Amino acid sequence: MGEGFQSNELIALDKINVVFPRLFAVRNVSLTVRAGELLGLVGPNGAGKTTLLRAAAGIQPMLSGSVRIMRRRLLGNETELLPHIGFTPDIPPAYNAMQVRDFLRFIAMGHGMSHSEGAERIGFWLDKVWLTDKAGHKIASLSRGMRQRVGLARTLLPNPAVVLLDEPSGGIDPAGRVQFRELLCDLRRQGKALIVSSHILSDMPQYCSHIAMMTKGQIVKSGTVEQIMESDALRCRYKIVLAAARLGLADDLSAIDGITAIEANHATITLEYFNGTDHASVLLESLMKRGLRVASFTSEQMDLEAAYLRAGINQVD
Amino acid sequence: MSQLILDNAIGWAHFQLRGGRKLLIWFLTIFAIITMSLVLAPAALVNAFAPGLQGFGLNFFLGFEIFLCLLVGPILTAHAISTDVKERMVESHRLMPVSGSEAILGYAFGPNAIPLTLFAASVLVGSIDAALSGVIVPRFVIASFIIVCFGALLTVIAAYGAFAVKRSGGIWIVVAAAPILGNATSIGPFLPAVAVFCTPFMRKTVFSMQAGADEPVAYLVSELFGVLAGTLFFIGARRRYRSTDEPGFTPWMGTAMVGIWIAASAIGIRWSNLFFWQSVGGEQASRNAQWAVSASVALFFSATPVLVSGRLRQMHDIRRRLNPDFAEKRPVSPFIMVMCCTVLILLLGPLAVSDQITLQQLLLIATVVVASLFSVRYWERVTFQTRRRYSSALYRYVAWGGPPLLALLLEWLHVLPSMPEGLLADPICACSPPIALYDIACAPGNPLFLGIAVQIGLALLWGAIAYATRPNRQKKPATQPDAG
Repeated sequence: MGEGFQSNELIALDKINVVFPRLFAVRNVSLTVRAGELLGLVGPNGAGKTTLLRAAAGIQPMLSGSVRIMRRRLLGNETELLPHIGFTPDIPPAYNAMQVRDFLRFIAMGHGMSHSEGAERIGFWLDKVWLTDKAGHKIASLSRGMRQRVGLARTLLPNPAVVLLDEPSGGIDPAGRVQFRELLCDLRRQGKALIVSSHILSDMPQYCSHIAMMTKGQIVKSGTVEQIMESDALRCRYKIVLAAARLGLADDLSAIDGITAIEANHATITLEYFNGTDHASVLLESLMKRGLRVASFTSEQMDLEAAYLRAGINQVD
Repeated sequence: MSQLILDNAIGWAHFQLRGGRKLLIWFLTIFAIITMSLVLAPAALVNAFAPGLQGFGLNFFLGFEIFLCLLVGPILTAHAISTDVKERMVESHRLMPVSGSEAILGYAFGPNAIPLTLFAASVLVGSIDAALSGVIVPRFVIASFIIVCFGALLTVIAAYGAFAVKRSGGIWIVVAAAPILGNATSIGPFLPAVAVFCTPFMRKTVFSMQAGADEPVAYLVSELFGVLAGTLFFIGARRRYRSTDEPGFTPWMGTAMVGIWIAASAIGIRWSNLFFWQSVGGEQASRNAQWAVSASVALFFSATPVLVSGRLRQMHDIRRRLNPDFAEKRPVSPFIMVMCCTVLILLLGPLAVSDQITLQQLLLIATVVVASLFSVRYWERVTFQTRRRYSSALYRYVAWGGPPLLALLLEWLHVLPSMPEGLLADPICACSPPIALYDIACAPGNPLFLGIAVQIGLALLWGAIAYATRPNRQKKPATQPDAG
């Protein structure tokens, strides 16, 4: 992902601006996602992620900017590029009174598929999203997670090159989330370009190739997953378990140079300090000098959640 | 075309949602039972024993067709669209390679598959009844055709309304159309364009036509105008389906609508004997009054192209300020729209009442129309620039209805009776554009100077405020508030 238009780009957003009455929802956002890349879009509620995804799908009126799909500009009245875009909103709309199979048949018809081709693809995707058993059920009778899966099947049915998913794993059970991650990795292997917005950051390194952090309508930090996490590689989180709890422990530790973010809970302490084995040994030595009996001492690398928290993004925009 | 209707995904979905084949068969069965037992069999008996009453069953079929095409059809279409818009299904549809025309046809035919099948069955069975009764079958078929054409027009308008107006706008349009259709005979003499559009449902209706009582020329004119208006609304609905950001009517489409209204009014006034039947009862409004009222409605319609062109220009300017490379052509100027609409409204006089009109009247009408349109245009611009969302329609209601209401209030407070009749009330009323138009056309002796001066003053006032509040080119655009 990066600015400018590259050779195998599948979707490129160029200086997107979206304005609502009294709110600049998306401000001058440009990004490119190439084949096989998956961009994870993270940010607080109200950051503009959903609006950006909708603009990328061509259903959000923009004040200015352009969307290119496979190097061709997406225009409002043009239907030719639409089969290449798949978009699942956070609450996928569906005809609740219809059966799952009939709803997907309607989507297949809308994409001009023949009856046999449609039936074949419907069977395939129902199997992929684990809904084969529910094919004859009315959508209204499905749980939220299942409806999310129907939305996913609806998006992937026409086999789009660009897949845009807004909070796709909301409501999906833990086992489903594992399968969902596998599905996303599978889509990347197929050479699709994906943009996924999610609040579940712990999962993202497992399926994202890139991350973009968004706040107040702007992308404030972006890069590969490694780049984002390495930007905080100078610091490291340590978990220390003492043999016995001690009063005033946090105040005592804060006197040590370089220690930040101390959290003490009885005999367990977590804190941030410089990264690396030399620094770790210095820290351990400092603790021993203060008469602390260390039962366990472990270091944890900064993860995406820590990187996000360190980006200084407000909880709600 | 058949591909657009028969293989239409949106149509198919809405047909399924409305019960599908199973419900269709149920309805057809019930229809067959009712027509056989209550209409065809009694009709055969009547024909056998009282030939003078032949064809009485045909009125049942025509009434049934009117119910299906003019009420059920538009409401089902409007409901389908409103529901899809509300539940965001339209956004899902927009991601499918379905053209705007295909979508609108889907919404027109899908939810109406059962009513349309029943309509076809009614035409078929009605034709059999007509043949058995000795009525000329093509007359019955033409009457049915006129009904379905009018139903198509209403359906397209309802579809446009459902996309353009939130909260079941299309359904309200049908509800509003019902009393107009039902009272077309009363409204027609004042608004001849309504008489032209509603001819099939006025005093001598399709019911009498199937019996051979009417000349179909009026119906042909009506259908022609129906097709023209329907085409504009179809294009508008198509535009609204593809993008909620774009206005349904472009400035030129709005001007075309004004032109259609003017043409229908002119024809209705000039050839009133074709559209106002002898049996209307009561007095016909004078041609001048018809001219004034029609011009007032045209003035109301003219606000659409003027306001749309103004809004498009404002958005274009903001886009260009945000992105200097923005190369789209600048939309047509509201000034040109004001001029076009003024010319069209002025044409009504010479076309409809050429022998009675004077140059002074034309000049006064032009002044009132231009002042009124600029007043609305600058009001809208001021609200846009100051980021307030006061409706320009509300402004029109106040500017149009305020002066006569004020005169009524003064009269009620006994301020006016002490003065000579009309000394204050007439000039106050003339501040309202439609009343000024009426005075110009029908009561040239009424004092107009104050009213017209107030209207010009309002236009200048709003123009000055618009100029004073115009966005500073060096600063952020008007719609660019701070984030967060």
